Amino acid sequence: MLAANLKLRCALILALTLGVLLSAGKAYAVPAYARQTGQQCIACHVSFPELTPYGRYFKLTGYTIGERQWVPLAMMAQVGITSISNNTMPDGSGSVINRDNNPQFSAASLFLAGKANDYLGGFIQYTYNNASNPANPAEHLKGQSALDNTDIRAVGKAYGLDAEEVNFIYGFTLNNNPTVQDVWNSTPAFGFPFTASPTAPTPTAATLIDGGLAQQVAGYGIYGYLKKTLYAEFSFYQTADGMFSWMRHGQHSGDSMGVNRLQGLNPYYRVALTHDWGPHSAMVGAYGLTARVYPDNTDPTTPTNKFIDNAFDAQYQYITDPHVFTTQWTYIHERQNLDGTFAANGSTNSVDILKTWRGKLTYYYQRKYGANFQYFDTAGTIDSILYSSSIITGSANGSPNSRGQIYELDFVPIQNVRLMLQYTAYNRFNGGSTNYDGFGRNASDNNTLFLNIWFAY
Amino acid sequence: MIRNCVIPLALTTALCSGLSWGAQPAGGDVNKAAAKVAIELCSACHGPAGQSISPQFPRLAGQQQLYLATQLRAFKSKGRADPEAHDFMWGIAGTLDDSIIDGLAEYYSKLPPMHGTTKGSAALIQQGRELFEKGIPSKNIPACASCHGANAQGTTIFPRLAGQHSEYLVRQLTVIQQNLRKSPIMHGIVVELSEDEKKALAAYLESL
Repeated sequence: MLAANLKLRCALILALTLGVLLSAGKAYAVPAYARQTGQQCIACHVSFPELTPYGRYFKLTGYTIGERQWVPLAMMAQVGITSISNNTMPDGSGSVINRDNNPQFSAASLFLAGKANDYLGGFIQYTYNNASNPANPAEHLKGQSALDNTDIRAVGKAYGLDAEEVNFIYGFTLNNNPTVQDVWNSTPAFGFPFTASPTAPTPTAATLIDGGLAQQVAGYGIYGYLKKTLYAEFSFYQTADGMFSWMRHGQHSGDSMGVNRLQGLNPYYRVALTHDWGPHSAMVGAYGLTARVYPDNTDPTTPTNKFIDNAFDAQYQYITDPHVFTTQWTYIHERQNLDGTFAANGSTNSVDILKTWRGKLTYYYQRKYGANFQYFDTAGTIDSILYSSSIITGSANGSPNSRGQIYELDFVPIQNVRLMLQYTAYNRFNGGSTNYDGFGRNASDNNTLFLNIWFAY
Repeated sequence: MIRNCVIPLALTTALCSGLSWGAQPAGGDVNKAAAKVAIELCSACHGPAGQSISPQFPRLAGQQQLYLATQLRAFKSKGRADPEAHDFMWGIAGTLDDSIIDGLAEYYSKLPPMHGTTKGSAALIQQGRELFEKGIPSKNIPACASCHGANAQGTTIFPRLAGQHSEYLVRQLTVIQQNLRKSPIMHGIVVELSEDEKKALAAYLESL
């Protein structure tokens, strides 16, 4: 019944998409950067948002290639269907998520993106999220508008009198999400999965640098890229308040469970070694953040928790016509000195460790037909208070451990549209395979099939 | 204290960013503005000194000046409309004025000629050499050397082929065969080439 229902809705979505395609004609109307450069999306992207070598150059040089547009705007919208393996609450009291097996408008974004002049450019995304309370199926899904990923750059290029190419790119970045400024897609902000179900349950534990500060902070720093070989960046992150308060516009900054509040300036680093040869492009690197976070956003008088995140990452891309193969890997190690939370009896231990592994493989044929596979594994210290037992979202044994795989097929009929079929399978969820929450739910009950259509214009 | 220093430092960096070092690139009497475009923009894909790294993008070093200028104008007018021209070059060439186009053509033509690597077997390269020098009389395919020069160095509107990426050469032969890249004379000459013959020819040319 469930499968038949899903098939019917898949057919509906595909029919709608075909209608759009047939009416769209040849795609000259493309998002802001494509309009600015006059180039097609594949010049910069393997598949949005994964960058090609030229795409990295475009971003590192501050989005300044091309001619300034009078209206540097673009938009994006996503519509999808989520189907989780078991949508019945363990006690039979109702549904786990809203609109399971039903088409759902997920989100829409407006972009202000492009160059201001040859030395200044940016990427500012404003998003309406149509499912901002997915964990509360008792209510209808609520919408919320907020500033999304933002990265503004001032850049320069240096080369000598006998130059053959630009020897050194340097610049300043102002952004609101650690790693959103990064140009390799092994780091969290623009890492895989590029989109996922807005409503399906996801593991509770994640390191702070892995999205924990996204759209909540202001970061500013300098970077340099020497001879297309050595990249280094150093930034500070602070609470996005005062003159930076616009950078978390729309977020819940006034309630205790809202955005994170940082103490002072918190250092972020990134180094990478890169090498291109033939159709190959490779990178190995490291990045990290040390951040002091108040346990309660509304009370900056308490002791803070100190998160020390250090990560290694690597990327390899093989880009030819018609075959493209890419892979990204990252390992994040986080030491959590939970002085604030422990003092408030919010954790069992004063120090916890959390580690995340992710590796992803991508193949594209003619930049139209894509297949992706990702393995992910998060593991850490057992802490029965921090990872407490609760229905669906909790952990019965206090373990943060989760593990699984994502399988994804993509079809890009024209550059403005991407159809995606994604399946996420969990071997372990919040510490267990069976009865992980103490209320009878199994990890595989959260397995998620997600069909999504992504429009960009 | 640190906070007080960071923002002024950042703003200073931002302002200084307006000063690109090396605004007077070398190049003798070539158009310096064109050299700046070549270094800051073209080299991102076409490599340092026109020796591109990825075989997706042609090497330009030592290419025939008239051929380069003609192709850039064909991109700008959208007269050359193979998929790669459409996806990558229309936008780039559309921003170039005539003086920059001529300057770029001169800049790349004067660079030390492109050089490739030996990728195929000796037998494949020998097959390519025979094709290049003698053509295929049974298919009415003339010797490539008759237009592109004995050493594939090219002349005027006939491009240099020696040292070019073999993958790029095969791709160009294919899009010309399929009339995706309009080149009526070349189309008639190469339309009967087989896949193996294209690979042999390209392997020989890159080895030069």
